[in-house]
Order: sequence, then structure tokens, then C-alpha cells
Amino acid sequence: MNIFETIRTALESLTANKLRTLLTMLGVIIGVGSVVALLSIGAGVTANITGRISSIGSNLITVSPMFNQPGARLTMADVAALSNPLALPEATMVLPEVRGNLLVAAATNTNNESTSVSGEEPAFFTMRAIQMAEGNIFTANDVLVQTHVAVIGSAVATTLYPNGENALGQTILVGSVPFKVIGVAVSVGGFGPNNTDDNVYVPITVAMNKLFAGRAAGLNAVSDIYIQLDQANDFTAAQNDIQTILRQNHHLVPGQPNDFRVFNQAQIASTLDQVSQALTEFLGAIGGIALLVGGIGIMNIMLVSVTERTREIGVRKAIGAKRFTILMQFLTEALTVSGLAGLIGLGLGVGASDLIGRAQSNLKPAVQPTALIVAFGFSVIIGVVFGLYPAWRASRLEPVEALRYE
Amino acid sequence: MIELKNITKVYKMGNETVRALDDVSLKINDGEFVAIIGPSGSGKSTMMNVIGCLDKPTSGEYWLNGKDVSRLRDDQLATVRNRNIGFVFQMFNLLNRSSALRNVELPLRYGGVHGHDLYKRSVDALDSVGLKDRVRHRPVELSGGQQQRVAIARALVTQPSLLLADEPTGALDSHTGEEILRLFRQLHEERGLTVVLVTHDMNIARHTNRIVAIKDGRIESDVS
Ligand SMILES: Nc1ncnc2c1ncn2[C@@H]1O[C@H](COP(=O)(O)OP(=O)(O)O)[C@@H](O)[C@H]1O
Ligand SMILES: [Mg+2]
Repeated sequence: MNIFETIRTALESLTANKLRTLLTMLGVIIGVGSVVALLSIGAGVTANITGRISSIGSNLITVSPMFNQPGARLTMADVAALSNPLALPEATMVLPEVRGNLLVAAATNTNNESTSVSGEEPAFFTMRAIQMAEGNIFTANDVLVQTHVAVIGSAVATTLYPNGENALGQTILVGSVPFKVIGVAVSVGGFGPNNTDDNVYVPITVAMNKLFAGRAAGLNAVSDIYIQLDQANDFTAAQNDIQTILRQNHHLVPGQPNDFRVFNQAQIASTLDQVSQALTEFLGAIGGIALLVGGIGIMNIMLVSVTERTREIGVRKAIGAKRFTILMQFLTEALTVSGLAGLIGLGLGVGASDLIGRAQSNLKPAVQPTALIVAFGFSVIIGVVFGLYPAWRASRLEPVEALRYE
Repeated sequence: MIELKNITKVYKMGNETVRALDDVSLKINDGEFVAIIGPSGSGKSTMMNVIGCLDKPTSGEYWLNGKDVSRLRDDQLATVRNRNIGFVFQMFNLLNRSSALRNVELPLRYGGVHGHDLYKRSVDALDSVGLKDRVRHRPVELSGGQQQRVAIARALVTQPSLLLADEPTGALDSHTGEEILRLFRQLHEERGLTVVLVTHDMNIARHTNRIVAIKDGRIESDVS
């Protein structure tokens, strides 16, 4: 028996019971399809995160209050201490930020949304390389005299002015405080909190005194402090200096834990990388489980098939089929089912990734060639592993017993 | 040549043991046309299975064409069956999904024959049973008699020296049965094939040249 004949025989018996074959394949189809689609999405998310982080710049350090200590806060006094070039010579820029979620509404229509609002210094836009599509950023003078002006992200602009009206020059209400829109930022895509497209930027002084005054409670509290370093390679020293300055400023005695966090983009990148890697592994595992279940389905049906075809096996043996021949015949059948299902699964997985990419422009699933190979290889292995036992059972049948079987 | 020497076949069913064959010795020469006859349960099929190398005796020796085959391993027996023995069963036992031609080709494929040789020998075998024009038909598209002819073609295609038929007319009407029996006789006479036919029916056994009667696993009479 050559291989083509064996495959032909397998196809013959598989097509004899099409619905059953299809149902058997379904598990593996879903398994392979989800492995491919989920891994593509995982890779898309990772690429998105990595891209955004590298666009922020890697020589940036962020200081935030320790999230699990209720009283912990950073203030303008901390900003002043960190801005001292004698204390922190590595810093080229120290920028405070006040941030929160507020209802943002257009004054001339009824559109509104709750979105991220932050108070910034003008230098923030340089540091984060945020470009204006229209208009300008606010100036140092605006910060000084507390002008009610705002720069809004492109998504905010389209939400408030969906009919193509120019957002520039419009008055918007941020938490009921009126602001004039003087700039609309270039869309950068992406998603998640603090995304430029979904943000409203106002002068930091206005944010502190008008928008988040209750929170600051006269303490000049800030949400974050951004510190840009002149070189990308002295993080550890700079981080230590920052810690020393802030601990001193907060009167922390040795042994007392920090009430702030200092982290740089490299750390965030590696954390996010770990997260997305864990996510990818998790998604892969889900697909793997589906594949495994599919494999058990194949075994189940193959065992039924062997029992049903006991007589056929007896006849084949009577006319000269050896054990190995019978083994190969049933193994080929299992392999054909799982291999075919694997191929269909690949097609569906790639198709699903493509569809998701079209529907969700932020998420760009990237089909992973290795995922294709691994998922298909896995489905073939599943076929062998779960096909082997039924095939072995078939090959061990005694010809006389098999021929007597009704 | 077939030589059974003190063959015993014991089946165990729980505590009970059934001696399906009880110390049977039998010699069948090349080119004989023999019927094994006996009532139901007498051990005919068991004897045919031993002769056909489908089953191993519990004790005794079985010499086929001068070779002791009673102690061969399963795969060696498969080769013996493939080369030397053709089987015809009561229920035809064709593969229903395959055409007549593919059914007939199968023993050759198991024997490693391929290409044009495979095709030609299979068509010739079908021709010799009068089914040259039914090559592409599947079993369901054939009558009972035609199906049995396909089965005979399949048994003949490897040109074995021995043809074993267990109640080959059992599922056929008497007229068709007669035709099949005539075909056996013709094959026996034209090719010098050894034919062993198992039946419970004396009217069928009469078509052969030698009648071996068995009862309770023992040979009762052996008449030529
Ligand atoms: N696999 C088996 N297990 C147990 N008993 C069997 C088996 N095969 C045959 N027998 C018994 O052996 C005896 C002979 O059976 P068999 O050769 O089939 O008879 P026949 O073909 O003459 O009707 C019967 O009593 C039958 O019940
Ligand atoms: Mg019988």
C-alpha cells in the first residue's frame, strides 16, 4: 500500500460520513483558528505598546505618588526640589502634571464625553512630541496668567464636533469650566489611558486651581512629575538621586518605605512586554486547550469508527493486510481529519485576524508565521497522538473475531 | 497440499470450554474439490479458519504446502493468506464504499503490486467471473450473485493455490447459488485450484468430489 492509496482510503471513509467528520474536525478547527487569531492579536497589541513607548522616548522618568498609600502625594515643592540643577544635574527638564477624568462638553451642542484631562506646562508637548494638526499649543504666559485655553486630542474633537465643524476656536466645558480650543493634536492612534487622541490638555495652573482644586486642597499637589534626562544611559544613578531628594523632601526616616514611585520608560516597556507576553501565552494556552479537546474528539470518533468497521478490518486482514498496514490506515485517517481541520483552522484564524484588524483600527493583529507553523504542527501531532490508540486497537484485532463481529 | 495433524481448537467461555475441533487429522491434496459438511455448531467454520490461517489451533500441527504454519506469527500468517489463500464468505464481505475493481485490487495492493500490473490482473480476475462490464460498480449497485462473483474475483486475483468458501451460497437464492457453484467447479477444473467449500447443505456438498462430514468437532465420515 503506498501513501497515496492510504490517503485515498482515508478520504473515502471520511467522506462516507461527512457530517460526523465535520463535527470531529470542528474542535481542531476552533483550536487552531483561535491559536492563530489570538496570537496575532497578542502580537498586534505588543507592537502597538512597543511603538507607543518608543515614540515617547526612552530617556524619560516618571514619578508618581505611591498608589497604595492614601496620604501619599507629590507637590510643587517636590517639583522645585527636583528642578534644582545642583541636586539633580542629570535632568534636562522637570515637568509637573495634574491629571484626572472629567466630563468634557461642547458649549454649542449637546455632545459630551467623560475623558482624561491633564494640566501641563507647554514643554510637555515638546517632551512627548505631540504635534498640532490645527492651531497652537498654549504658552508659558497662558500658564502664568491662567488663561482658559485647551488643546484637545483628535478623538475628542470628533466626539464633540462629529459633523465636521472646526473644533478650533470653539468653547468647550471641562467639568463645567469654559475653555477655548486653541489646538487640535495630530492623531497618533493607539488606545488606553493617557492616549493623546482622547486627552484634553489645559495650562497646569488652571487645572490645579479650577479643575482639581478640591483634590489639591491648597497643597499644590500634582499627579505626576516627568523628568527628562540628558542621556539615556544613567537611569540608575538618576533614579537614586531622585529618590534621595524626594525622601528628604518628604521627611522619610531610614526604614520607612517610599511614598512615591520612580520608573522609567524602559521599565514600563519591559513590564508591558512581560504583560503582553503573559497575555499571549495565556491566549495561546486557551487555544491549546481547545486543540486538546479537539484531539479527544478525534480519538472518540476514531474509536467508534474502529468498532463500527471491525468487520471491514477482519476482511482486510483476511486478504493479507498486516498489522502495520491497518495501523497506518487508521492513523492516516486521524491525521487527515486533524491535518485538514488544521488547514481550515489556519484559514479561519488568518481571516479572523484580518476582520478584527479591519473592524478595530487601533488593534493591528499581526499574523505570526511561527504561530501558523506551531498551530498546524500541533494539530498534526494531536492527530498522531489521539489517532494512535484507536489505530493500535484496530491493528490488534484478531481476524477471526473481527469477521464474526456483527 | 493441506495437512491437519491432530488439530484441537478449544474456546473458553467463562468456566465452560468448547472443543470446536477435537483431534482432527485431515489431508487434502492439490487440486481437490472438497466439501466440509455438518450441522450448525459442528466446527466447520473453525476448521475453515484454521485451514485459512485466520486462526491458530490450540494444539496440533498444520502443514500447508509442505510448511508448518501453525506456529507462525500474525504478520507471517497475513503473508501466507495473501499469497496462497483466497476467501469467499457467506455475506460477501466486500468494502461497500469501493468499486468492484478497487475491492479486487486490494489483496494485490497488500501484496505490493502496483501500476498497470495491478489494474490488468484485477480486471482479468473480474473478467474471469463474468463481470468485466461491472468494474466501476459499487457493491450496492450489484445483485447478490454479482457481489459474490466480485468476492470470488478478489479471492482469485493473487492466484492462490487454495480457495476457501464458507457457506458461499447461504445468502443467495438457489438458482444464483447453483451458478456460483458451477463457477467454483469451472475454476477447479480449468485452473486446478484446490477448493474447500463449507456448507450445512447436502445438496450443495454434492457438487464437490469429496465430502468430509464433521460433528461435534470430529470427522465423522470422509467420502470421495
Ligand atoms: N470465538 C468463539 N468463542 C467461543 N466459542 C466459539 C467461538 N467460535 C466458535 N465457537 C463455538 O465452537 C463451536 C463450533 O463453531 P463453528 O466452527 O462456528 O461451527 P459451524 O461453523 O459448524 O456452525 C460452536 O459450539 C461455537 O459456539
Ligand atoms: Mg459456520
